[in-house]
Amino acid sequence: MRQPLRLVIADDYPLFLEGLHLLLEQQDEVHIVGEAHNGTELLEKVASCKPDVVITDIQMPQMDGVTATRIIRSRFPDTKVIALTMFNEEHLIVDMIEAGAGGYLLKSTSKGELLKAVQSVADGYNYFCNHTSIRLSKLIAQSRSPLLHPSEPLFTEKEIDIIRLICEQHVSKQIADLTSLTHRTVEKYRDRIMNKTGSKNVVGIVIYAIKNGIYRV
Amino acid sequence: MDPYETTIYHAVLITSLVLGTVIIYFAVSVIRIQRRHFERKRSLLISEIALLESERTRIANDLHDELGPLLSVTRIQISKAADQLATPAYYLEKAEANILTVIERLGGIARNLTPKLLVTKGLEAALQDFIDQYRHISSIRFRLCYEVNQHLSGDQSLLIYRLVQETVHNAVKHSGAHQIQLHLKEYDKQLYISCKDDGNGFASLPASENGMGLTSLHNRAEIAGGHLQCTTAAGSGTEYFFQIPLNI
Repeated sequence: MRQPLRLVIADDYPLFLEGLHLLLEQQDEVHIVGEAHNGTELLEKVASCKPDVVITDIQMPQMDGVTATRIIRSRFPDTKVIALTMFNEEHLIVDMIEAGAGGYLLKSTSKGELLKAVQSVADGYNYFCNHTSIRLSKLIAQSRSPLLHPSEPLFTEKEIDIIRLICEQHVSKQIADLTSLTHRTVEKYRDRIMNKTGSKNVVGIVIYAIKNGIYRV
Repeated sequence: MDPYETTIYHAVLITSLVLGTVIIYFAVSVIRIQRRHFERKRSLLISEIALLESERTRIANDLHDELGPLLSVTRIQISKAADQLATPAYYLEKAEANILTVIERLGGIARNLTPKLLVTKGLEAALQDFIDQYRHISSIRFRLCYEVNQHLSGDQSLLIYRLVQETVHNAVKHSGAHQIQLHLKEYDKQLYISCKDDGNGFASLPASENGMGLTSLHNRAEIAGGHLQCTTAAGSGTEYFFQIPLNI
């Protein structure tokens, strides 16, 4: 088994940090090595703890998450950042992604999604919350993110059809009906598309497709 | 001329001069009082609006910074409690789902209360965001053209944002339009805002309904120190045209 991922968490609301502790305790995959209540404290903790992943709130006193992320990514490039937001605050999320965050989650996320996001970001992938709207996908795709994979691998025509259907919010079963493929074949296509686009969920595929002009909104 | 007649002429002349002066003085005072009254009313309205907006911001911040995280933590605690039970707990799952819905609703309410983007990114970004939100829930085609180079003060941006918001709300709600064009242009220290739709026009609406909305828009224009001109005809759409002096 791999070493647990070392996390630093930051939020100006102490009760929420407690909640994150509660959510992640007894999880072998991760280990919280530090916590901070503002951006300045976060930078100190990152410098002293050298975590693999930072999970941080965006709006914090003294120094906000966007500035902190920009500094962390330039001084400690091995440390990945996940932004946490209370609501779907699209422009803040885009600011964080442009500052170098590898992904974002809503504060109402589940344990499963939180762990998945931490793993993906630590492995160098982006992770975008399952609740991402098409509107936010478009904003992210248009953002000047240093992390979105820009190169376009070659897709077969069938794959492109399936990507478009995914972008139109169809689930695998509907896609199978629409393309006269079996459900299992569609699932295989889906996996292959995720691999090619470096995505970890449907949102990743949608953002990729918008960014590379496969799907227009 | 008869000396008696001359006296009468003089008397009439002097009396009319005195009367004229009194009338002019009276008229000037009335205009001055009215102007002062109007100014006072306007500054009272402006401070009331400022108070209202700061209250809205405070409520939105409370929802965002306190209730939001508290609900998130509660959700985590409920899911933790459910994890510790041997059998799946129906009511705990229900409660967790409810909290998620409450969080989502809270986000919507906070967003409607105060346009945060206005403060962080300025009027153009806030209007773009406002229009984008409509684009996703309505089939109306929107076009926004923003040609204002001057940096507007926070207060003025907010007045203009609310004014545009209400105009577009009105157009969306009443006009039955397929397309709404919004154009903001700065020229010679004046801001011109045009909101044009291809809807039914005014005549097709009951007078009371369009009267209220229109009065409110006139008021908003007046508070911003400008005025509104509204051109409409049954079946040929409506254009609202505002002229507002910049940096008042």
